[in-house]
Amino acid sequence: MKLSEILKPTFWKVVSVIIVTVGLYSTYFRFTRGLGASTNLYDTVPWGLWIGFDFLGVGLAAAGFTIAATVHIFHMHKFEPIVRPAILTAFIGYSLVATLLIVDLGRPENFWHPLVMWNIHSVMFEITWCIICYTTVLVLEFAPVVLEKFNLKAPIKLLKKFSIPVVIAGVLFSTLHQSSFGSLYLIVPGRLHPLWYSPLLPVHFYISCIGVGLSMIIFESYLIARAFNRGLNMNILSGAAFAVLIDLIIGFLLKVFDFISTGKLALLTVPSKETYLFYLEILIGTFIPIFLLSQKKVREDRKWLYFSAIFVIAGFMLNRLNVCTTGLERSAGYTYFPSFDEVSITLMLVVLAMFAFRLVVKFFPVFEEEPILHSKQNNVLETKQIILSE
Amino acid sequence: MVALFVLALFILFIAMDFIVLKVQGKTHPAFEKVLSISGLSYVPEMEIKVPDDIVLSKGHLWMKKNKSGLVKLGVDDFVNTALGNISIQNNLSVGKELKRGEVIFEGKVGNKKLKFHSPVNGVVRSINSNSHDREYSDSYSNWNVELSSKDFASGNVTYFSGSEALNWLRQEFTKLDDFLKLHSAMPELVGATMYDGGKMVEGVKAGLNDKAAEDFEKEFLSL
Repeated sequence: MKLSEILKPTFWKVVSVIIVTVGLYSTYFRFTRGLGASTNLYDTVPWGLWIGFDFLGVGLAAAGFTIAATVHIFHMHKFEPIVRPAILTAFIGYSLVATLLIVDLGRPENFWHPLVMWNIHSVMFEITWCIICYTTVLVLEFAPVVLEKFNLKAPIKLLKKFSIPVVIAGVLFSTLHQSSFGSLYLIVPGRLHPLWYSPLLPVHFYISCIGVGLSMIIFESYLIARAFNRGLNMNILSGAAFAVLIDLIIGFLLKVFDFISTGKLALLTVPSKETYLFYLEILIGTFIPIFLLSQKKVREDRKWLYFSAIFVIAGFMLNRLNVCTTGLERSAGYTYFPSFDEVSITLMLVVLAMFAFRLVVKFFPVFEEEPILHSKQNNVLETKQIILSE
Repeated sequence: MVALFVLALFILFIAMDFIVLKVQGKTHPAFEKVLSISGLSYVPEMEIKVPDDIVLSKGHLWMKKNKSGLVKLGVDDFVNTALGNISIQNNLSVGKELKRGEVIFEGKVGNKKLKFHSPVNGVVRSINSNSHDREYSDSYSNWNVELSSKDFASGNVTYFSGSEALNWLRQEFTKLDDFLKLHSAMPELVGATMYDGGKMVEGVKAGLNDKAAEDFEKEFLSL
């Protein structure tokens, strides 16, 4: 790509530059003035937008372990073309989370302490180690893409030998920390609003991350199709959408069971801010996508599949942020709203993550030769080129 | 409130993206008109799209008219699908006058050359020297020649656009399927054909002989 092409201003390039510039200033402000001056966090509300985004980032990146397990452990090779993008999404998602955590720490220079100062009775200790281990697994899973680029065959061969144990380790670590995010809130039964507090919170977190991870892959496929003028493999995407549907139904049934078994149904009739937001979360993230995705023609329709993925992601965002902020506001006696610096730093990191994804896709073989087609005759994947093979 | 704020931001960015695309005259992948090809013997199932701002000529060149009246031309997705990456070679020079039907450039497939014909009268304004490096998946941004032509203004040009283009492409793929059926009975013409999947095997490039190239040109590239 020519330099002139890179520098050619487009709407999103201009917006991105503004966001990153403002974000850098806010980062400088945060590190020079401290959390008190740069955030709207309070003694009774020590976790805000950044922790919420950590939850979102890790959840949205869940497709990495889901797709890797589907292909390499359950041998559903139909999904093979989206393994690499899923792993890349996960890797970038986790890197974003790690960066945001460092920004959020009161003493960021001590970020390495959990590595050597173990507190084995803390949920945070488990989460920290699972994230470190899983990020290492993601590096190993993505390494062949980089090695392929430089034609380094020996290390690829070596990595292939350990690929199955690595994938299994990835699934284990993901399962542990995705659910541990829910466990984190089990220690605040008196503070978290009962609409969201549940002994089953770790299970809710785990099940919901699988559906949203797959929805993120669908959403991302459209962004990639738009950015790189690529086709959409509707066969794979509608298959992923069916898995999302199953996941949403399981999650909803579990929620119904949870509400009935803990006697929380009456809470749904109490008019309050929390109740309305809970309804909105369920409507957007569960009812509408279940209604849409239960129809085969919707799963196979480009437009409706896109909107279904957006609904699932939006519902997930509401859920995690309701748990992190809305559900704690009443007990804290303080209504938290993020400061300008909190918002600008978060947006900057999201823009940088998207830029990193775009850059890696541009220069590394993340996608197979496009478009990949499914030949019904011999049930194998092949490129659409008919007459000549390169 | 934080939850609603983040949700509003997410929706705002998606809405802005739709608006930006609309202003740029582009279509979001979710709303693209797509042609699904299926049920053919030799052509595998696939999806073909034609962007809204692109029109197709009968000789399988796409045309895109810009605001200054210049027309960009390139090889369409059908040819790229059928032949793979073809190397475009032309002997044009900027300022050369082209008449409709004249050879605008040649596509090199293996050791054979296929002629592409100009769908409009015009004068060559620029030639894209980078076009060879692009991937074939990028058919509609990989232009080859830019012409100034009055044919669009005078209505003196035949082309397919929108759903008409998709319907015509469907017919062309059906015709291609017949073409492959015919030539697979004579493998020496296009090389060995896989009977089980419709995909030609490696090394076919060398096997595309003069007769097959000539037939392909006559069937699909003539105006």
